[in-house]
Amino acid sequence: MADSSNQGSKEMEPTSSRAAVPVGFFVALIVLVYWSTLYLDSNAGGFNAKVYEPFASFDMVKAIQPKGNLDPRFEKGRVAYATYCSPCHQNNGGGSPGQFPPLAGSDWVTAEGPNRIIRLIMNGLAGPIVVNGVDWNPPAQMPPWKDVITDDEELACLVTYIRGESEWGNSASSVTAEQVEAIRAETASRPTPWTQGEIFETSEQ
Amino acid sequence: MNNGLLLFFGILVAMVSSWFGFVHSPQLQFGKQLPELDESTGASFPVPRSGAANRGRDIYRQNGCASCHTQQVRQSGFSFSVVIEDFGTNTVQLSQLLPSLSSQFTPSSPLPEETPFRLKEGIDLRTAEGIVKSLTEVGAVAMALISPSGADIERGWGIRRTVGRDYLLDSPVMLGNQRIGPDLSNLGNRNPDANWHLVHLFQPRSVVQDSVMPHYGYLFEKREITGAASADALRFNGELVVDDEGRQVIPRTAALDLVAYLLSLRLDEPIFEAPGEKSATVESAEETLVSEQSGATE
Amino acid sequence: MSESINNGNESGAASPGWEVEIPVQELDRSCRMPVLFMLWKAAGWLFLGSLLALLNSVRFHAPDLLAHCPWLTYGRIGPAASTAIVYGFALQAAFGVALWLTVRMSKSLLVQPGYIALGAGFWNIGVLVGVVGILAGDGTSYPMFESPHYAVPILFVAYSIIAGLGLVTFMRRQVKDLYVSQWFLFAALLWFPWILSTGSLLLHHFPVRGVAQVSVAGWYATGLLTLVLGGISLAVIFYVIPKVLKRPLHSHYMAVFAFWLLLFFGGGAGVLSGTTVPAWISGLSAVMSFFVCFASVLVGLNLIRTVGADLGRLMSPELRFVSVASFAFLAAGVLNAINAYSSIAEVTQFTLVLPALQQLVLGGFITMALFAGVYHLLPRVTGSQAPIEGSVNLHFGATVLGLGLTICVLGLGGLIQGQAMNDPEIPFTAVTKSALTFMRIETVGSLLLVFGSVLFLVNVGRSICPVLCCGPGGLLGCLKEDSVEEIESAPAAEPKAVEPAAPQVAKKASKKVAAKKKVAAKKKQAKKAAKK
Repeated sequence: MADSSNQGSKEMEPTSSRAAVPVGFFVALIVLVYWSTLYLDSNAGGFNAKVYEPFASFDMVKAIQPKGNLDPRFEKGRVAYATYCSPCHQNNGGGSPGQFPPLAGSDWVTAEGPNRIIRLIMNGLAGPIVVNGVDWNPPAQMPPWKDVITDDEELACLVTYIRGESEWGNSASSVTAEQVEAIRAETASRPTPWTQGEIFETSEQ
Repeated sequence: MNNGLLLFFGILVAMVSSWFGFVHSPQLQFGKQLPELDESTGASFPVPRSGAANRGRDIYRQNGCASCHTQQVRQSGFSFSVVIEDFGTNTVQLSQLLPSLSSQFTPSSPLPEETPFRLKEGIDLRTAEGIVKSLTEVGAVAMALISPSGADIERGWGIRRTVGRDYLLDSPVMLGNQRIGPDLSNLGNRNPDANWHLVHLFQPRSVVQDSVMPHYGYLFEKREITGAASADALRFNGELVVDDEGRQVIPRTAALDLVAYLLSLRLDEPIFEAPGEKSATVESAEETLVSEQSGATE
Repeated sequence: MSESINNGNESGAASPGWEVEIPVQELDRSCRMPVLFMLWKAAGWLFLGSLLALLNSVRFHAPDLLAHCPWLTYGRIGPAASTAIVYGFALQAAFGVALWLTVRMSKSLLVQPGYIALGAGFWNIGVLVGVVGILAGDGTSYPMFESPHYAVPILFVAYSIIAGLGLVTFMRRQVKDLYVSQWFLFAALLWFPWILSTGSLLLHHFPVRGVAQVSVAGWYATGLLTLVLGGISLAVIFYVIPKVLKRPLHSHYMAVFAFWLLLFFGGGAGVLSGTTVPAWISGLSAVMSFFVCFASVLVGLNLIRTVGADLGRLMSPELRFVSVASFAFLAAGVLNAINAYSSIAEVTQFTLVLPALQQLVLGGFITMALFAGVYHLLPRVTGSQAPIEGSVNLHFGATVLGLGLTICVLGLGGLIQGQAMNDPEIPFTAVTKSALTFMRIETVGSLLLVFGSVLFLVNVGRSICPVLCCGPGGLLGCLKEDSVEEIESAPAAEPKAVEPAAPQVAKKASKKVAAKKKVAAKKKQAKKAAKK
């Protein structure tokens, strides 16, 4: 070995000088830290356990889930809602303050039984109404729909839709054409809209 | 001494932060994860492996199969397609709409007979959602579906990328990092023939000419043929498989378990983390093996 | 070059703060038995591991070679080879070198060398149990952590003995300022039990769920390579270059800067992007690789500035090994960072690039640094002649050629394989075929590495043999008589003046040492007299 002859008590252990770290390295380090945060921002999926490459974020993963609704009745109801109801109650089911009560999350719409809401649609409603504990006094009465929506199945789909639209937070049971048919027969002789008091006297189930 | 103590605490901080990042956080995220139960069908995901398949996973580990085979599928990207599930009743408006969405249609062309009908492929999410909305407005039921893409997926190694939840029930998790042989994530779907796998283990080059896999003869028992061949003996395409010395070959339990494990490897279910389209299921691959095993015990 | 730091070594006993300086011969002799034992065993494991690796490499020419025996199947030989090389050779040699470096730089005698040798014995039993367990089918399938669950506790106990006593030696140090090699050694010795126990508990005894295992196993393997083996190897590099060139390290600050960067980011830089872990794990890991790359450049620059115009002097044997190791360290840092980048990883993943990079780190960097350390300490610890230079040079040539060939061929083959794998039009059998040629050429590299390991075994054996068997100052004699040779400077070791400023612990320690030496010296004098 080159220095094996040199071994002995004089052999020195290594020492170090105190030359400063080049300033460039600090600059580079700052750039690297900055760039790393950017890299993590776009490549770490928000540190969410459900985000894998090539997806960028949890919202993206949520957005790419298979879309559309496979229940044709539900979709039919959506179309009917868009045609007849959304002008007043809005596409998002939120209604409009002081005029039209909301359907999203409404205790009337999502009641256990659908009968009262079907009756209400059939003949319309006049006068004050309490929705989710809030007093509403709509300036205009709700028109009757039994002569406009004459197809029981279509009305059943419509009620199914408003009761089950998950985007509104509603998840009540669906409604069949038979249920609608029964109510139609029951209300056939009634010419006037309901009031809240009257409709509470009828059964919900 | 002071110097050393400071150094010690510095190292300790580094160790703890590194441990927190790569041991503790993943444990927080995955440690309590449970298989998901689909209440409507009673099926759970991931599908629990049968006893034989679980034993087979141990054979897989013992023989270091993971040194040449991965069990992870990559996905380089994804696109969307629009599928019409139901044309609805408003056919007039629909036939007017379709030509504006797809060049397959002219205003006079009839609606396709069959549903589901794939209207568009390889489009982005926004376009797909727009098309679905316009179809909904004319009363048709349509879906925007994601199609994962990537070389692995195009090779049929899975319908989507693998995600952590796929390995929830496995221990050890043998992802592998070398592809000297093909990926095995979806083997149960790609080749559900248990007999083929047994022959492949016994004489790899008799079924795959260029294979570099070593044979696993020790998973099989060789027996002289006295009179008629045994009912358990390995047969392929109706012919008895024999070794170099003309002896019949009977798979040991280890071989059957290993094949049961290989057939239990499936990647055909979409999952929240990696949505995709469910592939046409191959009829229960494990059943072929079960019948074989029952044949072997009879 | 600015003013160099006084490590308390240049002015000898007059150095302020410390009462005596133990002569280096005595330091070396204190660690002779355990260190030589470990190096000898390590060389043996390297030979065995290389042989097993060669067997697996030959299998790409003849897949059915020895396939009828379950103990020798491809999937068991691979992990067995890696366990023999990593645990049997690399870690063991690293511990041996680390002990000697600790003793030399702390200027304190090795504490309880007998127990350390016992620990080393346990370590070898642990590795043997591990390798046999893997061959018997009890391997765990976690890369770099393949030993069966029953082998790991043996390794842990063995390590605790070796490193515990090593740390006591370090704490009894007679120097005030720590040289950067000591930083790396200290960190490596603390890091290993941390990852080993975590791995054993969370992968073997209370396995975590699902891909959390992948993360833990990746963290283990990275920590083992980058911080434990890598740390000790860097300690060797930082020790050997300034020492042999007889000039101070260019910059203490740069080295320390790199140390902290490696320590904080090195532990997580190995979970490659694209594997089946959530995006954040691979993303974080990629970022850490960039920081490690930064640290590698810092280390490289520091070393280059230390060597300065003396590039020609790098031809001395241990410096040759060290320069290859430093170059490999720099290259590995840069290539790993490139490989962590997601669009590159798409091509290189699951291909031969991975073993190529691993060979670069384990073979090119760690093994070469350890060889340098071993060749540097052998003549000093044995107190005899250095290994024959020609033989060392041959070992160097064979190893570098073997490593170079292996790394280049596997890397190139991996790139081609990756390209093909990403083209779904190419059937998979053709993909493997495209890589097969390279795997077959690699056999030549494996053969060269086996040849190199034989030369290493011979070189180490030749140095140890005279010590071990009979010669003056022999190991056996050492065992019998505690220490044989009379040291000229021994009287100087006697305590002269107790420095009041010296810390209590150090004072006590050195007093003890001095007292022991007094006794030993008296014994020897008595013996000498008796012989006469």
